Amino acid sequence: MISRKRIKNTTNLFTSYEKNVCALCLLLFIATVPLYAGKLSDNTLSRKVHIIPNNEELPKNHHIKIEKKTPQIVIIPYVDKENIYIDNLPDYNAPLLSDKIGVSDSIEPFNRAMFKVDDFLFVYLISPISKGYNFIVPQYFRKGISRMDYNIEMPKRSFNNLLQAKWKGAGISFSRFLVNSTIGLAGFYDPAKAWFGWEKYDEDFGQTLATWGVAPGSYVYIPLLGSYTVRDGLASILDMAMDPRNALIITPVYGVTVFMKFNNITLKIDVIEQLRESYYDTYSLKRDFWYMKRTADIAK
Amino acid sequence: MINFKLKIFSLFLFTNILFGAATVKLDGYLSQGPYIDTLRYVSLKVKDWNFFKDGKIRSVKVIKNDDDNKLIYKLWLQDKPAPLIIIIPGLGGNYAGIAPTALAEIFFNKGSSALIISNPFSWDFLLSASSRITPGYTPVDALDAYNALDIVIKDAENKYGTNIFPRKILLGYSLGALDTLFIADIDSKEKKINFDRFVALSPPVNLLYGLNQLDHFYNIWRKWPLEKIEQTKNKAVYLIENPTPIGTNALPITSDEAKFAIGYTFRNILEETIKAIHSRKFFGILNIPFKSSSRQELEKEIERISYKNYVNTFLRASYSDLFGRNFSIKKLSGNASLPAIQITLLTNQKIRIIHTTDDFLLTNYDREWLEQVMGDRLLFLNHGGHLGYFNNPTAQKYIIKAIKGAKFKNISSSKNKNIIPVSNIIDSEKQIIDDFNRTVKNVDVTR
Repeated sequence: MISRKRIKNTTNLFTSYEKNVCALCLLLFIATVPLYAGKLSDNTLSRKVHIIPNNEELPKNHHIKIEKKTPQIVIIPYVDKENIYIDNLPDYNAPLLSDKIGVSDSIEPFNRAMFKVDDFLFVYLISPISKGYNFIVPQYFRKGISRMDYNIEMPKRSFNNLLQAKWKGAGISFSRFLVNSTIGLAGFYDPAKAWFGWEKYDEDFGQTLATWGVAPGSYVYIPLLGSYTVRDGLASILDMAMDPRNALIITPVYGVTVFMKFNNITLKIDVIEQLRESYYDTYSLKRDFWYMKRTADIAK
Repeated sequence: MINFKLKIFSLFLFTNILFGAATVKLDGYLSQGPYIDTLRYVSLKVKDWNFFKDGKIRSVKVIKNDDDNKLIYKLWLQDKPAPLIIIIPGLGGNYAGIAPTALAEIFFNKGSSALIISNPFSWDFLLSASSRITPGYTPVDALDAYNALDIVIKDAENKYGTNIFPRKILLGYSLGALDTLFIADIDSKEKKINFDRFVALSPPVNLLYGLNQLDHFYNIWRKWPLEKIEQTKNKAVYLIENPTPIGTNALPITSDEAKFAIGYTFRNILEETIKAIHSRKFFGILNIPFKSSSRQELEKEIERISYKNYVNTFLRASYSDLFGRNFSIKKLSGNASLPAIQITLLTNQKIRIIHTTDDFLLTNYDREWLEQVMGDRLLFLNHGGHLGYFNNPTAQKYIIKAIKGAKFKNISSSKNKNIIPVSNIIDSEKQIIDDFNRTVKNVDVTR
């Protein structure tokens, strides 16, 4: 009797509003039971999973039995969703990028032979002398000499800017020459850039011919001088003619020119050595990258 | 019973929040998406060129019967005994690369000695230290690298003193990171070197997926007109000549152009590698023979070979004696990817991984999987794509922390919804390990 009374009293403890809320919660719980059941079966009972990757010899679905004791190890299934395992072979009909933007190398055996000569000269002559020179002459001075060399070549740049109707480039190249030759102590310093922000506008006869539509022709490699195309090689003769140093046909001036060119190489010696060590076929790399850079310069 | 389940649930939740992989925001990093960000990798330069020149270049004989080709490594030694950080660069990277040298410079300036060896997927490693000449199958590449490292470390210790390296840390990035993690697996079994730490920066999880991505990127040019190809090439040249200093300036390039630049760079590496393989061994795949005087036609034939083609031709030919002629690429890729060494990744507390949340070499599932396996030994950087974070000071700070063994806790939570606890290693896992061990046993360093 007592217990019945208690039950009756207990049921009277809830208001009708609370009873409704409880009923709603119960309904929600019942509705979500299938979801919980799925989760529980996933995590604690058993499930079908791809175990580790990509081995078609393995069963695709592996049934794992879980022991109730403390787990010793945790396996995280790796499911590869990408369908990338279709075996395929090279497409021999597809167009090649090198046919579109690469350079023709019709005299490759000659070029490679010249490159070997250059490599020999670099290893046994240029590199040791450069290292000695770099040890004695500070980089500050070497960079100054390099700027002087650049400054002297102003006529070539200004003239070719004019030939390509790049008026701004021609004007700035000439102004740079005036400022750097005077305030910059014959080009040893570059106040034109430092003070006035005047950038370089590099143009040569090879670029002029390219903008006029002259085809590049084959790639040519010349020891100590480097990479050219037939067009650029021929044009470089005109570039040399525009160099004021060559107007004075006396040996000491030639000596100065050679010294300045050598000085320029010494500034790049580390990069050249780094490239020689890094690539298997340095010739191909040098040819392709030089031509990429050359066409980019022409397009500027 | 209900209380017990609640406790278990709370424990999982607590564990996830406490030990989940961390995500760190890169300070001062102007992100332009993962592809353009990746190009910022080239902005990591050696600060002092004298450092580049000061490295001691040494060579060791790794292949028993080959006296002509020795493996070259580069070493920077502190004046007194100091931890040695060994760097394995990414795909195609060699000991003279700018980026690994720049990393070595950072570590050296922090007081460590540094050593760089070439990646197994580079022309000089494959000619001087690869047991099979054809790189790309990670278990064997890693074993080759492990054997080479053993010889290299002994050589350095013989030359400069046995106690000069109180600690040895192996750090790799990209494919070098994948190799590093496989080496961690080998080192835990063979215990020849006993590395103190393994740091992997941006490893691919599924190798073939990563290589496939590179193929896709390269092939973008096929949809472009010639002007667009020229324009992209010119932009790439400009970026190489004018790399942004610390990734704070926007790069003048679109995502598609960046993808192409990435694909083109990696395709060049593959071409170099195939050329080196072809110079040494004829697999019957290329029609044009290797000549020292003229290679342009050969280069055109090689240009047709994608990474996927390479795996399907050169690797298949090279490994058919191990796996039989009819083994599939899927099997090869499975054994060469991170899930094959997941038990080592789960249990080896010496391993640290740093990745980005937007690396295109990973799928979302890869990221989730990595997070679940590595927990607080994994750090995600919020930007950088693939390796585009190297020059960021925040990233560098965390790389140093990883080297020191820090764990990355409590910044974000992972969801271990796919974790299945089991009491024993399951059969298929055993099969993978057996497969790997069989591969390793069959590798002979005598070519």
